[in-house]
Amino acid sequence: MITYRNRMISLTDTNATNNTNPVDDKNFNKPEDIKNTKAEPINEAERIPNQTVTSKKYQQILENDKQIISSQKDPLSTNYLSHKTKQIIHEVMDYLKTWETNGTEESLVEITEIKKRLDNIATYLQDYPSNRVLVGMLRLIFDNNNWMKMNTGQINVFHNELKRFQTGYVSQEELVKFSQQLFRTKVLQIGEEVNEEE
Amino acid sequence: MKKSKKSKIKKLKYLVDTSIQITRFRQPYLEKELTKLSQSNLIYTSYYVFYEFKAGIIKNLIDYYLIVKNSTDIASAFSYWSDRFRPRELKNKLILDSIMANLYEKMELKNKDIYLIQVESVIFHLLKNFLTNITGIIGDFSDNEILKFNIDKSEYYEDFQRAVKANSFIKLEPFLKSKITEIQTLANNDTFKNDKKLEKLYQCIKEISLDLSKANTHNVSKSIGDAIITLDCPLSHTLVTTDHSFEVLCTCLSKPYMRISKDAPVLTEATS
Repeated sequence: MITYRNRMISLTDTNATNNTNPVDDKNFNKPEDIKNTKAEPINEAERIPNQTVTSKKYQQILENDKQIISSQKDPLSTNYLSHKTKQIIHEVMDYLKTWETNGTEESLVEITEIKKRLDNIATYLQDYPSNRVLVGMLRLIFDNNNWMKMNTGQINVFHNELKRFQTGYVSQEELVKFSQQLFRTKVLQIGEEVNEEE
Repeated sequence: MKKSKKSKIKKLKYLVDTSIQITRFRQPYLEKELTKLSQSNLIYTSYYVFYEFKAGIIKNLIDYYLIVKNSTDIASAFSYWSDRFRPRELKNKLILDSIMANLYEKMELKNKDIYLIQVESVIFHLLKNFLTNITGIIGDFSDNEILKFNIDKSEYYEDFQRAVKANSFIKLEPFLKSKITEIQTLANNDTFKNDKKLEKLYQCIKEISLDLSKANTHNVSKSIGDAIITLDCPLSHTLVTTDHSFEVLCTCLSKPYMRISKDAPVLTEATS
């Protein structure tokens, strides 16, 4: 735990040059601060998607993340959440690029990995509405079979739209635009055709 | 040398009703048709349509969310929710069925928290795309409490339920006072009177034509939604719908309408 806490403080120190007090709310929650943050992974295994990690070790990583989020009541946890969100967005974008290049049939492993990571991050998003809804929408895309019909144009749009959140900061305004673009381009379709009852 | 005047192409104005707003989420072809239409025309919807959307589909999904949240078991929560579905919400049932088919498929495999996040995202997505590809929203009822209620996140759902309960129907007398001539026209129209499918709607209109205050009662207010949308639609706008009722209502009032078939991928009728 001490190791994690130290790493989190060092993460926040890189955020803003004027940030001498890590507990100061205004220095933590500005998107510009988060923009300047380097992606400093807590654990190498998290950063490299294809690295083999035993399930037990991965569960331990998740459990530690959850404890950090839930035990922190100050703005440090918001920043840590932005870091995790940024990480997952970049991972999903990498997988999408692979999918776009290789085609759907050659990318089933990547799709599975995306779903797993989204489920993992979803477990500690309960108190953060915008992040929660973003992950929910991403999960919806992969939870019916419509993703199988996506063409390279749509995958490209999906990839580009995720850039709105690549800093890890999820604003309501960007979330709305994201939702609207996914609707316009049919990347996210929430309904399936059902036969009308007589 | 005289410059030739370029003739201005006047954009036609359309108003989409609740059936279109609901069906476009379920049928991608319809959204495609609307997008085509919007390229050289102006597509509007009305505040009353938004009210029906929010107090109908959205409220149903929120009810479902809260039932699942308060249950230990997703499957039995779904069963309980399906059983209490009221017949008059049939219009909403098709889109809800399609959304549920999508969400339910993986239900047993899902962690309840993840499942709830997805339901919340569906509600968010529907709300935020109500006006996507729509030029604007017009008409009376912009002041309605349900419309003004923010439900951007699940933390507000219970309050929204209470607000809907407290404002379970709209008192329509103030709106209808300025439409009394049109009400009388509808009430005196034989085609409307003799249409078996619209019997209940006609009876309500007849009651209102004799006593306007009847429009302030729950049963009447909830039954005349299609008539309100028609009355609220300006003459300059062509009402777009999938419903038969508007064919009759618009014809009675000499208002232009366009009926899109739910099954065929083209615009089937246009009258003026």
